[in-house]
Amino acid sequence: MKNSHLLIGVLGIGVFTLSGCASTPVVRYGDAQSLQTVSTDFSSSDLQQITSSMVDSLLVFPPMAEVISQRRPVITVDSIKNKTMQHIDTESVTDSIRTKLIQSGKFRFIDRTTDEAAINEVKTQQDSGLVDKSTAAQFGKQIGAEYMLTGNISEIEQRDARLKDVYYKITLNLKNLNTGILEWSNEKEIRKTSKRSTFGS
Amino acid sequence: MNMLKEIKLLKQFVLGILVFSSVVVLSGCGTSGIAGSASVVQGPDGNLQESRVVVYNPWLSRYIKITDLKSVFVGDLLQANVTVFSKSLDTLNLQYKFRWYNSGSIEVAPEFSPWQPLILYGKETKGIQAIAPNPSVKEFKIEIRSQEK
Repeated sequence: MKNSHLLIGVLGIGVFTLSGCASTPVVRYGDAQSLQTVSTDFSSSDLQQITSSMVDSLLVFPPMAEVISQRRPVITVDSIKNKTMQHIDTESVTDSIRTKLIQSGKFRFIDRTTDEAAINEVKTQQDSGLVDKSTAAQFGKQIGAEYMLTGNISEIEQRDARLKDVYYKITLNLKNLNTGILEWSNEKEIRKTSKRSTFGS
Repeated sequence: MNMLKEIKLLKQFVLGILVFSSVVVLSGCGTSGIAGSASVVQGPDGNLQESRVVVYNPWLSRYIKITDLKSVFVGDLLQANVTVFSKSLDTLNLQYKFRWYNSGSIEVAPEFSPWQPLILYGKETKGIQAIAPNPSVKEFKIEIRSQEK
């Protein structure tokens, strides 16, 4: 009899412990650079891996290493085509690559997305009479890009009742705008699998 | 008599659940902290003075070994080359991260060094490479740890 009381007590404490923390959400800051394995969807870790791999490859590719040892080439970024079934912010991918390349001090970039604002600003400097003409920005003085960065992201997904396997392939190309030649190209492959546990999902 | 039997059975059941849940908890959260680090420094005369420091977490050192650390300059950018060997017969799911330091041993661009996955098959030797984020880097460190759940 004593034993059964003890057991009921233990079970009671167990139930209390398990249910006690369920209702209040806990919010914490996480490490933005930690490896994220929540699902097989395209994740922040995938973006970071692509950025590291592409930038490293571009900086050590022998013909490009020779070019960047002499000058800082100017690049324009075309959008990366998303051929997956998911929504992927490809501009975020190119933004990360561009930022890392600029930070390396080896490349310079032009940004066509801010042209309208730039034209308005130059017009104001030229026409408003507010700006000293000797310091006002001039039309027709911008530097043309030598290279254009283009790319694709594709995925192959396979699944059965328990296993889901997603393969991502990201290809980036650097095209010489004068000659049309692809001066550099690189691929990054990422494979992610998720398995349903034996004890339900 | 029957009552005693039932209590015994219930006891065994509860014990079983306790043991099972503790196994689940232990195996699910078995992540270690920083497992190994190593650095290669460029001397003041410009020549490479390779100092190889390998600090192991005792738990992970049973499974992996850093067998080689090299730094090469590609132009003026430091390239880190690390070779890792798996002592295990099983596949290891690990992650690694590079840290970059300038000549004053100050960390450079920590935001550009994410944790990256590293899969080592049984008894496999694998090379890991990375390029420093900018020319100010003269020293690197690699950290390897087991993959978080």
